[in-house]
Amino acid sequence: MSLFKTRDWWSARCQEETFDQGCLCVANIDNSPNGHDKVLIGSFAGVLRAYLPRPGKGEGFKPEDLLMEVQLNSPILQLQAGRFVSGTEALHLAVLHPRKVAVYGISLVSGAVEHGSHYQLNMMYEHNLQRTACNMAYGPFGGVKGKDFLCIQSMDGTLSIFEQESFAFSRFLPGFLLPGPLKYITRTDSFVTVSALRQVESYKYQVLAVATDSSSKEESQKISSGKRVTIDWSLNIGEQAVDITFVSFPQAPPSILVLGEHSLFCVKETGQLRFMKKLEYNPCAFLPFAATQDGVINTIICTHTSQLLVYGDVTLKWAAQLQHVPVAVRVATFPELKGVIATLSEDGHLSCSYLGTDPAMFIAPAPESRDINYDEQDQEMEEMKKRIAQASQKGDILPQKKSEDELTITASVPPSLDPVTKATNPEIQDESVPSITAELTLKSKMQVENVHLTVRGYGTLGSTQTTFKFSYLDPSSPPVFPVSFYLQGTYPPASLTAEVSASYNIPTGAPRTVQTTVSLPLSLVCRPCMPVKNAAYKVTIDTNKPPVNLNELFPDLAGDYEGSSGFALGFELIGGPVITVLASKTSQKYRVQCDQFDALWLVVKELVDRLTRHHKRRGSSDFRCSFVGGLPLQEYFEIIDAHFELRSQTEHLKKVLQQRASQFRSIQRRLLTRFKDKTPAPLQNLDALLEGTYRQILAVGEACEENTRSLRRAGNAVSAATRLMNTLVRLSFGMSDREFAVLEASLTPQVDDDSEIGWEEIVDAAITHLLRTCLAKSAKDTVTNPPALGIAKDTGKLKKHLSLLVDRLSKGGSLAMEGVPGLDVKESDSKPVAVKAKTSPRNHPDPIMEQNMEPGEVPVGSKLGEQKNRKLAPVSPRNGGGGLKPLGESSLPPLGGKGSLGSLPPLGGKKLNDGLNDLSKDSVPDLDDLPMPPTHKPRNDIQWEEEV
Amino acid sequence: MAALDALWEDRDVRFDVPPVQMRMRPGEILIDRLDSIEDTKGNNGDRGRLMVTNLRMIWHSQSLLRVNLSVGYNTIITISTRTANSKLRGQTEALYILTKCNNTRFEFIFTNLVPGSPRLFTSVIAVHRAYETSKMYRDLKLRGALIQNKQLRLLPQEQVFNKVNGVWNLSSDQGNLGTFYITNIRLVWHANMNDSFNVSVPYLQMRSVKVRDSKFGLALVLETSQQSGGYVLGFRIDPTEKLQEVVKEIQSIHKVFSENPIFGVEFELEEKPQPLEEVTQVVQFDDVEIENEGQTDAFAAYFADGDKQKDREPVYSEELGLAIEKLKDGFTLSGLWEVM
Repeated sequence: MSLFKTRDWWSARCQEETFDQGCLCVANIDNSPNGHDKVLIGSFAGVLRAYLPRPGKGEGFKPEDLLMEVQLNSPILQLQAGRFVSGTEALHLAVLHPRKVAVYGISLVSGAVEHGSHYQLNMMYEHNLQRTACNMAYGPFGGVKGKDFLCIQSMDGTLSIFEQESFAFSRFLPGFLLPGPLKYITRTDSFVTVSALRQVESYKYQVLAVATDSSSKEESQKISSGKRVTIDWSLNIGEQAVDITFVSFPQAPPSILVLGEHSLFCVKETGQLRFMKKLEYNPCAFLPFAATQDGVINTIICTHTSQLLVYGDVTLKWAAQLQHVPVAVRVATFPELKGVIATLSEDGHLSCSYLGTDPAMFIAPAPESRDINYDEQDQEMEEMKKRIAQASQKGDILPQKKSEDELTITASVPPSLDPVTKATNPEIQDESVPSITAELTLKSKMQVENVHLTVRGYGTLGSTQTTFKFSYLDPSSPPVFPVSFYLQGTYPPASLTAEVSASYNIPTGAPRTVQTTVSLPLSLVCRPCMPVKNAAYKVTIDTNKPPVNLNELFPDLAGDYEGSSGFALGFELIGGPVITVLASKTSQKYRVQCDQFDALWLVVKELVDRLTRHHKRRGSSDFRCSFVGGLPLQEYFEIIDAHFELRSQTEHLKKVLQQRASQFRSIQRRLLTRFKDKTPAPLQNLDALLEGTYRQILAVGEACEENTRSLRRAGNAVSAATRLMNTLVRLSFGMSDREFAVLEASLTPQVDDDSEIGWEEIVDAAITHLLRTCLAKSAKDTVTNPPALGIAKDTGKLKKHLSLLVDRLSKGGSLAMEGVPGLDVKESDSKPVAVKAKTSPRNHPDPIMEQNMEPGEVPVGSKLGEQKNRKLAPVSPRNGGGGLKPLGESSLPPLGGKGSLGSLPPLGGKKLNDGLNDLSKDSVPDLDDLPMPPTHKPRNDIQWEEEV
Repeated sequence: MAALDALWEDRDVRFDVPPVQMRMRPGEILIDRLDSIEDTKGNNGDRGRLMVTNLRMIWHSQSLLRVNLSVGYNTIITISTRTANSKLRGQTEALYILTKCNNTRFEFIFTNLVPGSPRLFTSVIAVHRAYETSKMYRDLKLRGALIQNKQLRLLPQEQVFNKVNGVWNLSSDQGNLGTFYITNIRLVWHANMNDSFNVSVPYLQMRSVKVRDSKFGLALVLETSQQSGGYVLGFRIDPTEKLQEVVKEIQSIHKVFSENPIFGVEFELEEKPQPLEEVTQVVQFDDVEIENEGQTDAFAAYFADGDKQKDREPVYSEELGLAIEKLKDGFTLSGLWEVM
C-alpha cells in the first residue's frame, strides 16, 4: 500500500469494452496549431474515441470532452499517430485491425459554440492483410525524410512493410514462435523485438529489404518462403518482455528499454546492456518519458498491484497508488497542464492523473458517538465484565473438545490366543507363530465422516490389517471389526502394545483425531517351557507380601509343566531365549533370570503387573514391589555399546559404499573416453576393474542391509533394556508417577535409528540436562552451557552420565522438574557419600566378582586405582563373572529346538523344589541371604566425578 | 419542469438526510433491502439497513433513523471486496466503495452481519454495473456513436415516436442540416453529412424546450440541465407549423417522462420479491422534520484520505517531469520522498 496516491485530474469510463497495450494513443491528432494532445482509445469492440480532457471547466467528465466516437467494423488492436500520408507531414492515425490496417485523418469543423464543433474522420487509405496481425511499429524506415512507414508483425512472425499507400515487402523472422513487442530504432535503422528465445533481437532494415527471394520478382504479402534473415545483434535477457521502447532524449544516451516480466533492462542501441533493475512485483505497463537530470532516464512503471512507480534509471523516485491496473500508460500535455499521466485499464477506465503529495497517514477517528444510550451501555458493560470474569476463572484457555465430537475406539482383547493362527507372512518360518484377535469398536454420538483408522503394532508386532476407511459412521450401528496381532519379525518386540489411531471429520467439517493403545498378552510372544537353572542375568524383585504361587500368577502360561510347585516357571520367547521366574519359598522375593539381558524386560514387567493385580484383587492396597541391590548398569552398557557399534558400522559401510561408487563412476568415465576415442586404445583391464568394483558395491550394499537389520534388532534390545532399567530405577528409589514420567522422557525407550542423531545422543543430551537442572549438585553445574547436539564418537560420556544419574538418584535426588530447576534437590543429600562403600558397582551377587572388585584395597583417586578399575570394569563381567558369558548370538545356547531343553533334569513335584534349592545353593546365594547392599556409589563414578 | 433538475439521488453523497430525501423519487425502484448491514467505517458496531435502489444506496441505522447515508451510483469510482474489521463480526469480508463527490473522496465500508451471505456484494455490484452500462438513458452525449447504417442505435427500452427530417442545428454560423429522432427517452439530432456530429439529450437532462426568436428566425431552443453542462441548443425547422408541432410533441413527452422517468437500470430478481406489505411498511417516517441543516459533521468519518477535503491544484514538476499536486509551503519533493 502506497503512502501517496495519484490524484484524478480527469477521467472517463467505457463500460463493457476491453482494451489492451496498444489501444491508447496520445497525440495532437487533429494537428491543431496550439499543439495540445488528444487522448485516443480504441477498443476490441471496434469503438474509436477521441477525448480532450478539460477539467478546468468543472467537475470530472463533461459531454463536450468527447471529441469523437466512431464504431469501426472490426476490433482495434493498436493505434499509432504518425506522418503516414504522402505529400503532407501532418499527423494521421493508423488503426490496426486483425486483418486490416487503415490510416485516417481527423479534422476539426469548428462551430460557433463548443457543442457545435465536430470532428471528421476521413479514411486516407487502407491495406488488407493476408496474415492476422499482432502489432505494428512505425518510423522513417531507411532514413526517409518527413514520412513514416508501417511495419506490421503478424501472429506467425512475418514482418510486412508498408511504405505509406504502397506495400513494400514481407519477411519472415528466423526461429519464430510467438510475437513479441516490436519497435523501430531510427538511429540504427533497425527493428528490435524480444523473441520467444527470450532474447532481445535487432534486425537491420536494409538486411530485411535485400533478403528477397531471387526467384520471385514481385514482392507480395502471400509469401510462403524466404531467405533467412540474419540478426544484427541479440542479447539474452532470460524472460519474456511486456514492452519495448526506444528513447533518445537530448540529455541521456539513446537507449532501448525493455520491460521484462520481472526486470527492467536498458540496452544500448548496439546491443550492450547499460543497466538492469530487478523488480519485486509484476509490471503491467511502462513508459520512459523524460530525462530531467543529465544522463538519467525517467521511467514510469505500473504494476499489477495498481501502483505507479517513477524510476530515474534504477533509483525509485516516486510511488503512488493508482485506482486501476493499467494496460497502457502515456504522458500528455494539455492546455492547462503539462506532464499528465494518462492510464487506460483493461476494462475501460481512462484516467488522466497527477501525483498526490499528501501522504495518507491520517485515519479519521470515528466522530463522537451520537446519542449514547448510557443505561444500555452500562448493562452491556456489566454483561461483558461477567463474561470476562467467568472466562478468566477457568484456567484452561484451550478450546475444549466437546464430548459429542468424540469418536471412541474400544479394543477388547480376549484372554486366549486364536485357536488357529492368523499370522500372515511371519519372518519366522519354521515354527508356528500364534496370533490374537482383538475386536475394535468405533463409537460416536454423532455422524462423523471420513474416518481413517490406522493400526500399528509396536516394533516387530504385525497385524492382519493396518488401515480401515469409512466414508461415514452411523452412530446407531457402530462398526466392529477384528484385527489379529502376531509376531511378524524374528525377535520379540520391546513392548507388547499396538497403537490404534483414527482421524475423522465432524459434521461441521473440522478434523479430529483420536488414539488408543491396545495391550497384548505376554503369551503372544512366548510359550511355557522348562525352567532353566542357570542364567547369565538375574533380576530380583523384592515385595512386602508373602510369595504367591507362580502357577496362580501365570495360569495362562503354566502350560504342560503345571503341577509343579509353583516356585519356578520357564518362558521361551519366540525367537528369543528362555526366561525363568523363580519365587522364593521363604522370603518375599522373586527372581527373573535369562541369558539375554534385554529379554528380561517383558517378563519382569508382566511379573510386576500381575503381582500388583493379584494383590489388589486380594484387597491388600499397601502392596509394594522394590528392587534392591545395585542397578545392572554394566549389562545395560553392553547393550548400548553393541547398538552403538552397529551404528558406527552403518556409518562406516556408508562411507565405503560412497567410496566404491565414486570409484565405479571414475572407471566408467575412463572407459567412456576410451570408447569414444576415434583411435581405440587398449582397455588395460579397466573392464575387469569395473566388474570387480561392481561386485564390491553389491557386497557392501548387502552388508549395509544386513547391518541395518542387526541395528533394528539392537535398537529393539536397547529399547527393552531401557524400559527394564527405568522400571528397576523406579522400583529401587520408589519414584512417583510424575518423576517416572520425567525419567522415561529423558531415558527414553523410543529408539529411532533412521536419523543422524541417534538414541545415544538424544539420551545423553536429556540426561545432561537433568544433571544440570534438577539433579545439579552445585550452582556451578547449573550455569555451564550444554554442548551442541552432535554425533557421538563413543559411548563413554553417555555411560558416565548414566552412572552419575543413577548415583544422584540414589542419593535422594529428585526428578521434580516443576518450578525453579534444582529447587527440590536437597543440598545435604547431594554431598558425596563416603568413598568406602563396600559393594560392587553392580547388583552382581557373584562372590568371585565381589572379590575381584574389592574396592577397599585401592585408595580412591590414585592413579593405580583408576587404572585397575578401568581394567576391571570391562573385563570382569565377561571372564571373571561366574555365570556370565560373552554377549553375542553365536555364543548363546541354541534355543530353537526343544531337544536342548530335554537334557535338563525333568522338573516336577518335589523335585523342582529341591532343584530350586540346589540352584540357590550352587550358583546363586539364597535369596534370603542376599546382602542388602546399601545405596552406594559405584567405584567408577568416583573417578569420573573428579574428572568432571 | 424544474423539478427534474434536482435529480441528485444518483449524483450525490449525502449524510444524515431528512426522511423526505430517503423516500424513493418517481421512477426510483427499491431493488434489494438487506436488514443486517453494518456501516463499518462510520458506524462500526451499529446494526443497520441497506436499501439498494436503481439510483443509489441508502443505509440507515436500525436504532436511529436519522443516522443515515445516501450514496449515488454516479459518484462511485471503484467497488471492491476487502477484509475489514467489524465490531460485530470481527475480521470479515466487506464491501469497499470509493466515491468522489464535489472533489472530495469518501470511502464507505459495509459489512453483512449475516455470515456467509454474498447478497450484499452481488446486489450492489450488479446494480452498479447495470447503472454504469445504461448511461445513455441519463446522460447528455455529444458526438457519440449514435448512428449506425443511417439508423439510430436504440436502447433496450427505447421506442422511436417520431423522426423529423430537415432540422437545422444552429450551433455554427452556416448551420447544419440534420434529422431529429424523438423517442420515449431522449431527443436525438444528427447531421446528415457527418454521422459523428450528433447530440443525444435524454428528457432527464432537459431543462426547457421553447420556441424563441433567434438571428435565424423562429427556432426550437433546448436548455439542458446544469449538471449536464447547461447547454443551449438551437434548431430550426421549416415551416413554422412543423416547428410548433415538434415542440409541442417534445414538451408533452417531456412532461409525461417527468412524471414517470425511465432511468434505464434494468434488473431481474433471482429471489422472490418480498411481499408488498412488507416493503410498504419498511420505513416509518416521522412527520416532524428537524431542521438541522449544516450542523452535521458525519461526513468527516468517511473521508478517503484522512481529513483532506480537496486536493490542491496540480503543477508541473521539473524534477520528475510529471504533474504533481502542488506542495505545501516548506516542502520539497525529494524531502517528502526521502522521509519515507
